[in-house]
Amino acid sequence: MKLPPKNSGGKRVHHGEPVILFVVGGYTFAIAAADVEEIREAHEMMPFILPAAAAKVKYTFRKHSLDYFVVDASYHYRLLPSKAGRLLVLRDLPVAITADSIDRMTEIGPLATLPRAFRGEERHWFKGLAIMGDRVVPVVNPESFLSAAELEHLQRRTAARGAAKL
Amino acid sequence: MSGATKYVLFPLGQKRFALPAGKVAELAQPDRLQTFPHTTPLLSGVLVRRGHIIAVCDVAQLLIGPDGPTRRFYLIAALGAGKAREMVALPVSGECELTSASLKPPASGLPEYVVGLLALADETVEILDLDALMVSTTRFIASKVRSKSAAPGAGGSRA
Repeated sequence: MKLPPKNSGGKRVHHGEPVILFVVGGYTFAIAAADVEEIREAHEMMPFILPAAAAKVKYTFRKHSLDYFVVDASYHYRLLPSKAGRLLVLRDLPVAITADSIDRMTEIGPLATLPRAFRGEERHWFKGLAIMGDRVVPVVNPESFLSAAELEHLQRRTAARGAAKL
Repeated sequence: MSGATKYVLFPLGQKRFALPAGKVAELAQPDRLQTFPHTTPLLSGVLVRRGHIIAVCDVAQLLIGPDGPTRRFYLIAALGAGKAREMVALPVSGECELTSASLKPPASGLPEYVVGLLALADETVEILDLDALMVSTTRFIASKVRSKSAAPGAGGSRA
């Protein structure tokens, strides 16, 4: 499923902005629709076997001659393993994340900041929290799945493996 | 330190603790706890109170241990000061009481989040510094993590 192009250059989530709700390990998350380029079936993934690579990257796929690294979202969020059914391919990054399922596309109200009492990795994982009726849903930060250093490391290892095959 | 000040006494099982009344906003009925993955110790989720999101911090694990009683209410109290002030919800096991008493210095050997004692008729109640208590939670979980090896899928907290 191709998603419409991003309509703004900003990375913030705005009031009334469309988001995609997806489920990982029984938890519902939101991601700005503008941060997602495409939703794919998870069976299109290929096992990613590189020693000493980022442990949360277990699969990869190629698109337009570019390697995309698939982050296991349940591993990333320290959840019990779950069965990935969909891939959310991120926009402007060679990264996709697994999702057990896609819930729906909707619009969110004003984004609330994470309470300061939260002091762990969640401050980087999430842009904030959205109140949706009687539910609170974290809005994910797409840049949190792989750091620039992790991505560079993975790309270097993949390139080295490709060169070795020639 | 002396002079009568108002305190809110709250129960956690058989024991009661106190917070300065100025730090306490309200005692709330249990609302729907909302959860999502996170790694901050002792936080069990968030509540939505009048359109605001409030973190729920289960300090009973630190104050009386993991086998505490059922938490029946949420004591909504302020954390931080000035622009950094925000509310947190502390699950408590029963009704709270407002009292006025003189603060006595804490006995040596008590944790640093105990800033004083209230000598009541038949009990001595520890007065807590909520900010110091939150700092202690970090050390608390660090000691837990050191005592057991972390494994993917088993580590981390879920709000």
